[in-house]
Amino acid sequence: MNGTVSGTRLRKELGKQLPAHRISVSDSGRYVQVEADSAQDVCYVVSVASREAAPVFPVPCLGRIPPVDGWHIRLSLSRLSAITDFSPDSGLVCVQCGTGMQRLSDWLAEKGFALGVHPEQSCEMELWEFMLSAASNSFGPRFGFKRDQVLSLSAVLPNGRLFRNSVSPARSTGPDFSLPLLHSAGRFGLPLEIYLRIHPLPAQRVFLTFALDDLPAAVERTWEVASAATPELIEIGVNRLAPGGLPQRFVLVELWGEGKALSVRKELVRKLLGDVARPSEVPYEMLLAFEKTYRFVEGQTRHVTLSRDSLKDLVEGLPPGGGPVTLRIRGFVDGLVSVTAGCNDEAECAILPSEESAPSGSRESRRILDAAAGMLDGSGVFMRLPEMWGGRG
Amino acid sequence: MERGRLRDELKKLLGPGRISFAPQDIVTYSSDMYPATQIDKLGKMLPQVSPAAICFPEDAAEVQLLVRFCSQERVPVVPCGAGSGVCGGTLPPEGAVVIDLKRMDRILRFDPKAGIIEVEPGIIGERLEDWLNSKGFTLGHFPSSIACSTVGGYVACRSAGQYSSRYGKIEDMTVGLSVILGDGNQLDLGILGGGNRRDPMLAVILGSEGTLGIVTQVALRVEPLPELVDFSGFAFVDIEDGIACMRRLLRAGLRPTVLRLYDPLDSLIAGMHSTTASGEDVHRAASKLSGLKGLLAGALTDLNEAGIAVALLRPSMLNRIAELLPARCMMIIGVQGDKASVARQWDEVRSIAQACRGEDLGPEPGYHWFKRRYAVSYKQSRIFAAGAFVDTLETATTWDNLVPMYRAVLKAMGKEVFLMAHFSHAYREGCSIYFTFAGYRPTSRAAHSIYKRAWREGIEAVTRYSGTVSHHHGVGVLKRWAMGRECPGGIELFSAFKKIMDPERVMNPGKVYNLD
Repeated sequence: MNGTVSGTRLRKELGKQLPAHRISVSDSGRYVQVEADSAQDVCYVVSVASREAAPVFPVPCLGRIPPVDGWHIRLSLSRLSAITDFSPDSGLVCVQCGTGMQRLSDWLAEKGFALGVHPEQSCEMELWEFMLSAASNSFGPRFGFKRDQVLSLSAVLPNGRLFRNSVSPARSTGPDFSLPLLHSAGRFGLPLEIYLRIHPLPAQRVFLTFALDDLPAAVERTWEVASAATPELIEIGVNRLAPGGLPQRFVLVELWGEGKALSVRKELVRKLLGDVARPSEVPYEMLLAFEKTYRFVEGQTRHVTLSRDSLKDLVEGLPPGGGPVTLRIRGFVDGLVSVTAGCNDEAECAILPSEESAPSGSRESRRILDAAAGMLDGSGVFMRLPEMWGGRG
Repeated sequence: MERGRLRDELKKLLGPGRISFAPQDIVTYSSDMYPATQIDKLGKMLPQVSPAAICFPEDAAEVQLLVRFCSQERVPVVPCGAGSGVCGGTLPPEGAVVIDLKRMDRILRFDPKAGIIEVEPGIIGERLEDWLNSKGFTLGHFPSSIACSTVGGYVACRSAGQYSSRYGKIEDMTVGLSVILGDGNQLDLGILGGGNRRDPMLAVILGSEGTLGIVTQVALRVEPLPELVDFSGFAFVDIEDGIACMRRLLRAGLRPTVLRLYDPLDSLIAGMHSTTASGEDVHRAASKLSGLKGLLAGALTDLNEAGIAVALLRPSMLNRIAELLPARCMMIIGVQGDKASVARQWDEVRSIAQACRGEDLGPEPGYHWFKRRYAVSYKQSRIFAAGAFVDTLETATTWDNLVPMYRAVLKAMGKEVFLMAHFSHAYREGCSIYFTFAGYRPTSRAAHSIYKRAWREGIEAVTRYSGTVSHHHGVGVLKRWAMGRECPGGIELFSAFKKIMDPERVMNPGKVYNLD
């Protein structure tokens, strides 16, 4: 990254294919902002950025654009917000990257469907950010992690070229590059359109809430519940600032279905949790409304994926009355959970292992991913995207 | 490097008996089961290119020695398992060193509590499954080539087995890999590298067909053997009803052990007892068709060798006649579990099948299929023996594209070859289609020409419906040309990884993506 390109030059180059009214320049911020209207626009912007060695940052909701030496490009993707395909028969929806997750969720609900993950509540996050950041994560044992929701995708690579894989439930066509794309916080490319799996809303949804005294015991038991009852959602919550009357440690379970099968699963959950948790009368929504009791500080919300053993260490090591203000533990899929912690400062979050110390891949695996991303992005167009959410640049 | 010197150097690296330059080995390893090479053999043509040596390492350290040496000397390396691939994935370039992994066939660790087994790549699928069965477990991976294919081969091309609707494909079972990269370094992934099965680099190595490195160890998820596996057959009026049934079964959350729907012709060729919608035996009904049509229909249903060549000279007519056969579509379903669970699943299956106008034919067709489930590949030799060729195009797409894509491929390829299909490997979002096609021309040159045209037409039809050009056979050299359609931009990512992992570009050159 040479950092020598000027705003005037960037605007001139971008203006060769994009209308002037969609390009604005901030001299004080030293950036050029572009409103992209199509995938072709995005590819063009990124190809210009690659040529001019200017970093590109999509405009985030949850993340923050890090300080940049020299000029950079800010890319607004909110006009790319179409739902381009909806197939109830195949259980798929194809969505452009600027679509708000809450809007998508509401739209699907009107059609009688749901995503396999919860959209992030703290801001109207767009699909690209939802997929690239560690934010939000899992609906639970039934639907897996958010990356399990992706059937296929298209993305713009750091050189401005388009990547796309076939819309197929399985393939045998070489390496599957969609995983590095989604795991690298954007360093391999920025998703433009994604085919997401969707699920019909059930005839009935049952919500069970439990208050906990012994958190480590409840965590261990939750693995059993996840395996035996496959709940659509199971979440362990810790909320140190929970107002009077609300439990500070709790388990939420959501089950979908109907009739006898649903009753059987409900009883199974109650039975399995019976000796480690007390049924709670507090409504599910109230327990889930973390934001009403504690304002998450952007940048101090930590997301990490943990193995069963790492989770055990975490909950056993929580200091009485200390540690993160809030913890949300979801997933319980393939021996993994996704943990979101809300902290006032670094010290409160210090107990959380870093993503590096509890990784999906080995150190060598990450080294190769880093090197390949660097090889692909010689101009450093997307190399700093992970910093938007507190990751490594 | 000059061939003689290369052989001398290789002899120094490996002990005696672990390297071969014998002409019969050189010829054998010059091709795999790629039908284009079989067409050459029919024309009595020897392979145009040949490897310099075949090496038989016995452990990962020896693989590492060989790859390091080849990388330093810039000699192409082709890893090889049992050689049963059908896409030319192990065709060596001239002067290559073939590394045959079949002597690396040990079971390294089995952890029944965790449900994990670690094996070397050269173990044959059937031997592994038998060993697991003796411990009360199963891998759940049953490709029809199970007796002549290796775990390393499965991983190399993202293979699928007949029970995939229940157990998934090999990539769903793989939780760790050790790989000797093209630069000679070892890379441990997933649980073998201290991570988990969501290691994104697993997705890069799986399916890479030896182009980035050689897999030397595989960690696989295994499951306890079910108490009971039960099969049954169903008949559907047409493909549309059968597909609707498959989709509804999967969308209802069922995970049948086996779920296979045959189109009318494949139902007959598969040799299953079949009746028309009015209950008449299909063979008898076919014989009532008049004149040539009846003759050809009779030849087809009996798969008479003498008639094959003559019939295959007129594929369009043959395909049209096949459409006239008054057969129904057969579906084989298998379910597993304890006795009560199997009974519950059958209740649900029968209810959905009935709603889709499916007739329950009872267990006989299901068990007939089960007994002959690996026989199909061996039938192909009869076609080659008749001087014709046979191949398969396996694709997959979403449920809403499935029927249109099936019809489009039949139409597109039907001008060149005679073909039929079955639908298997079903998922919540879609399903795979397995087209079997056969063609004949008197000269190998003419046969090559229609073989190539049939593939082009077929792939073009598949990609029009956003289908994948390969569901489980891999890419090799056969479908390399189609990767630009399958995965635009994929070559850019592949090149980036290749530069890091195989900087001298020695690993299985020209497979999957063409970098030249």
